[in-house]
Amino acid sequence: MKKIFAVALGILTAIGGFVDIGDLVTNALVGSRFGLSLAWVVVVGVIGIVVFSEMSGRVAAISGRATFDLVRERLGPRIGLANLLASMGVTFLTFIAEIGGVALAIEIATSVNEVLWVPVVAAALWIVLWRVRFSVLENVFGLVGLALVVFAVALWKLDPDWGALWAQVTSFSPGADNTWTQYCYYAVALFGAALTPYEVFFFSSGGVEEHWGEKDVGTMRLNVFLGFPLGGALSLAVAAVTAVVFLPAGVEVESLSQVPLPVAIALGKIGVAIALLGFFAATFGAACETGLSVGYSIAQFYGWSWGKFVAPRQAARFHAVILLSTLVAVAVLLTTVDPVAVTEYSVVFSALALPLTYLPILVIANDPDYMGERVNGRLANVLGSVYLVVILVVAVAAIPLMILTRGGQ
Amino acid sequence: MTARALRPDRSRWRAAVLAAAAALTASACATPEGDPSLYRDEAVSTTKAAHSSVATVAIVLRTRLRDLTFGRAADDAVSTAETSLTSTAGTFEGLQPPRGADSVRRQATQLLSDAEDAVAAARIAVRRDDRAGMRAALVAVTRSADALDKAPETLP
Repeated sequence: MKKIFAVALGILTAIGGFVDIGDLVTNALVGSRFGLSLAWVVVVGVIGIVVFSEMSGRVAAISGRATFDLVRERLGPRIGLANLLASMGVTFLTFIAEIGGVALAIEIATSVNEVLWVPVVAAALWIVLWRVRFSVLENVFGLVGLALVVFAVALWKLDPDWGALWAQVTSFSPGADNTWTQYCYYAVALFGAALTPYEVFFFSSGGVEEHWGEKDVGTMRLNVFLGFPLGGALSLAVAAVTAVVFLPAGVEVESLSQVPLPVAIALGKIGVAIALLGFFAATFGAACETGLSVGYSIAQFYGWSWGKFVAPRQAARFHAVILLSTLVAVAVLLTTVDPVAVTEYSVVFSALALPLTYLPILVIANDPDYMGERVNGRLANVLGSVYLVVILVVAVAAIPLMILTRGGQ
Repeated sequence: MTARALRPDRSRWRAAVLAAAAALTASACATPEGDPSLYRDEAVSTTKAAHSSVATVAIVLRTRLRDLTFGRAADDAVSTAETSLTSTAGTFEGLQPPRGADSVRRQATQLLSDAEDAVAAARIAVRRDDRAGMRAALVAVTRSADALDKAPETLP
């Protein structure tokens, strides 16, 4: 019974913890502009994150070390440094976006400008990262993040023309009002939002925090194979409600305050309250994950003591990195930069950094010195290799598409 | 021919290059005259962006009038849409219209100005929770959204 509860809890937190500010903003924007014609990208992205999360989770469970703890040792300091700079840079940008996202969620509820909330959110975040136990942090925000299921309920209540929605899904085209370059740019953004590097950083390091062993591989796989696709379904529900309400009205989503409106139409105030709770939990939870991931990546690269499974005094440099990152993120947000714009750029730069994040995972998951008999099987290697090609194409295309479309305009 | 004999030619060549560089720099600093059709395209994309903001406000007003959303959430959505609209309109109004595009400018800025007025009225009514004001603003916002939607056909 205890085992079933642990598995169920893991799956539920994986669902609730899957969606972050990047998924919320990008899916809402894409839904309002392209309908569901880019839904296939979410599916491709979710399969990709499942493939690589399973690999990095397995590495953590078998070797007892986080994937990126092994990158420098296995691939040398140069590749390790390239991996660190690319992945950590994008993770830090995502961290800024998540803090801004929490502040925006509170702004919607209070009508007080998000800039005023940024220092409060950052202080609360730092206290949580410093004091709260890892399992509490992961489970609470993951479970409350399940409030975003309200978007799926809202979609059902809106009673859309399901045939028309399916026609959008299978159209694979930008529609009359958009160009192919814009379509491709948002495909890259959606792909980047689904495969953000911090997710594997956090997943593998979290495995070490929770002392996974070989016996936990099955549970980890259930979390990944069930939790992540269902989390992806939540992202699609966000895109679908904006496609139903905003696309016919000619409204393009450009702020978080627009995203709960379809829920308001379908479910009224109670729906809005649940959606706002979901926004808060999803962005605050992701801010915790990205903040920890910045600390994990630097501490693991330099071989410092890291993690929340040791006392803060024993991992002083790890916590100092988190504190410093939080302060810099606050300074950036206090320049009044738009958190939604930071989010949009973070998902595109995430696409750019993907090869440097995912290639080392594939290499280490195939190394019998670390993995013993648990090296990648044929399916994992075929999928991993196919995705590496996709990731390379996406990374090469990201910046030219950004320039050609002037950031998707 | 000696090196001394070449010098006057070289200095003339240098002077010509410098003059060309100065002319290029000066032309780069001058305001470009622009193409009327490009200016019209800019007006159309501006009205499209403005329509998105105004239509958002219309949806917020309808949900608020039916008591489907909270006052603060409605206020935030309208205020954000207003900020976006003001920025969009300001960017367009700052553009130098090319000769022959004054009528495009006149009509587009009128549409944008009407939209800003309607959205401001909506924001005031939402913030005061003034139901009659919201209903009146909804009429103006809907009219403005329709006019902006038709701008690609109606702009000269």
